[in-house]
Amino acid sequence: MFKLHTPGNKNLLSYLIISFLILILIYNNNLAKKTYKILSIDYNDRINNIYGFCRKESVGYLKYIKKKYNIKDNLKIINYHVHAPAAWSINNPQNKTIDNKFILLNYPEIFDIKFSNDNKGSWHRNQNIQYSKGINYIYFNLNKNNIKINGSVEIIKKSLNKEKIIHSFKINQIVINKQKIYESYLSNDLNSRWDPVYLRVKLTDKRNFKYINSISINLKNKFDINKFKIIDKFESCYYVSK
Amino acid sequence: MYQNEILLITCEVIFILLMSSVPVNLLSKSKYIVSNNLSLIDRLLINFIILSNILLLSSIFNIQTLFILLGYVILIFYIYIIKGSSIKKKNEINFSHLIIFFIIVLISIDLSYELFFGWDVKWHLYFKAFHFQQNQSFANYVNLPINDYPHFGGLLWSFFWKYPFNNYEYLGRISYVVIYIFSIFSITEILKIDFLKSTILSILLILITYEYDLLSGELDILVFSYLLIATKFINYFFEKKYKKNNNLLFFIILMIANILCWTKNEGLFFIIFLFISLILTNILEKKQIFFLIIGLFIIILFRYVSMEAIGIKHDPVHYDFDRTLNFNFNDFLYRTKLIFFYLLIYLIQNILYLIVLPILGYLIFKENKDKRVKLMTLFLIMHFIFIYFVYFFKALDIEIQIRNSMKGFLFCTLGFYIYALIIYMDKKITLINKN
Repeated sequence: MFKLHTPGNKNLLSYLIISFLILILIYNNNLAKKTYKILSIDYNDRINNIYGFCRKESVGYLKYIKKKYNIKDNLKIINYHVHAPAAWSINNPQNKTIDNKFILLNYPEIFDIKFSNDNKGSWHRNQNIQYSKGINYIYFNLNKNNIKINGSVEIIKKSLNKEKIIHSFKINQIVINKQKIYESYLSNDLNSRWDPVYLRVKLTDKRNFKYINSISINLKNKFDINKFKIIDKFESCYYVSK
Repeated sequence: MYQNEILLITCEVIFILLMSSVPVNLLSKSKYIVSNNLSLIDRLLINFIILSNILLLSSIFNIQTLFILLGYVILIFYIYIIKGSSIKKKNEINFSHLIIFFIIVLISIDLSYELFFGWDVKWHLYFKAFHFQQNQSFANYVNLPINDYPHFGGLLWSFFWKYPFNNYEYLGRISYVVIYIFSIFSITEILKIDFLKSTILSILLILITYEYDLLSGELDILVFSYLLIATKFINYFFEKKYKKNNNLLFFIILMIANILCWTKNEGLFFIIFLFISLILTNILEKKQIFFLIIGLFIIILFRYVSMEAIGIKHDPVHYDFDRTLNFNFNDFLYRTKLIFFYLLIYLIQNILYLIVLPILGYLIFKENKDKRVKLMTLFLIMHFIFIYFVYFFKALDIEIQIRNSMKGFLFCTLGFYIYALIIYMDKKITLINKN
């Protein structure tokens, strides 16, 4: 059907250059190794390797739950780590969503957020906050047993280059390393993916800053696992019902 | 059940190429389109553009994709089997073209290994592909997340996901690879050099531009590719051999505009900029300008009416005008500073932009009588004004928005700026040939 024109000697140099460039393409993208992996690792295992079984988006766990419990309708998925929604892996927008059952991914047993000093007057969090409904207590991670803290802590949310103090409280006491200082605060304002949330700490004795490694806030969890019936659990991933 | 995925990938590539080989028969010399010596890649691209438009229309009018497939199978069977003997003498595929096939397979292997989706893909684009893969109607499109977003990317993905194997989702994304590779090979054909030399340039461009992120299901690669193809076909207007009153060329460009209009909202703006630039270069006759404007108007109106018909309205949440317009003069400076800072950063980060923008600058100063340079200059001005306004009026934190999207945003139009490199090389080659 096809007449194939084979290469002649006069184009040898061009062919050599093309071959060399294709080899670079193969080398740059690790294509030899990837070919081997595609041949030796099943598609579903590759998906688990990429999205994690019970980490990151936990697509492996979601698929496992759907298959094990033969779930036809859509499940609500709550992931405590900030990732794009993983609903694509099990849900179909044309189906209805089950109201009384849902999946919790990367559920934190201890819901702590750590803030570190940027040495410019602000303390920045180590992760984004989601699904909190307020504060239980705070504690200072010190590099000595105790210090006297006299000052205030402001929790600030920055949006469109504008700062807003969402909560502030005063401390005037001797604080032991990791001592819980209860500060009851109920609000969803701490939750933020896009707008930065940070602390501004003011101390009367600024020398004390050097003794504070970080400040941690223990958050109230919007979804308390103890209030649900656990249908399935794997590490920090839960399938629960109300 | 164990399946040899490399074999599946190879078969999928062959299937896509076969679907792109009709209705403008790749084996016959075309005597009726644009130029007498239309290349193999041009013909494949025209076919792909036609297929893309057929898929778009069929999705909107709820025609089952199976009928489209059957139509193509009959056409392929008729052309290659029944008419095969009469066109046997014209069946000339250069050995060198197998290089393109080989590169498509290689990139597809990378795709099948990496697999991960971009953020927007997980959020809503995957659902669009899944929707059409499940034979859902356009009317049900309202149930999808971000349903006011155009659906062509998902549609193309779903078609080649479903056919021929209806297996792994990534097989559908191989169509993105095909259009990307073809668009690059196509633009280098503008140079009057033999195929092997243009292949070297094409592979170099692929080496510079390719990274897996482009194939993560995001639509930037489609805008990049179709804009590059539009540029290639617009280049025919500047060629000496160009036949005046060639309405088919306009038709091809309008079909590309239609695809871009249904791929990404930005795509529509880019094609409008390209059309305005083309009109302002004064190479078109009044009748042709009229044809172009009316065509574009119909395309935009068709999209608006189709979406209205199924009850889709643009979600005002995306615009959030209260937050967007609520800023003082300090904000103006803050936003402007951020936009220019990150624009510079992302332009520097992209090696190809680092090459093509200085070349374009050189062409603007040294070759400003060339109408192709005028076309590029006009596009450049509109494009950068557009970038500024798009980010200036973002409702959410502007810095996060820029960091999340500017890289992809700039990549979309990179294809067009490659044209500057091609013009420059074309001039140098002409000069060498004269001497």
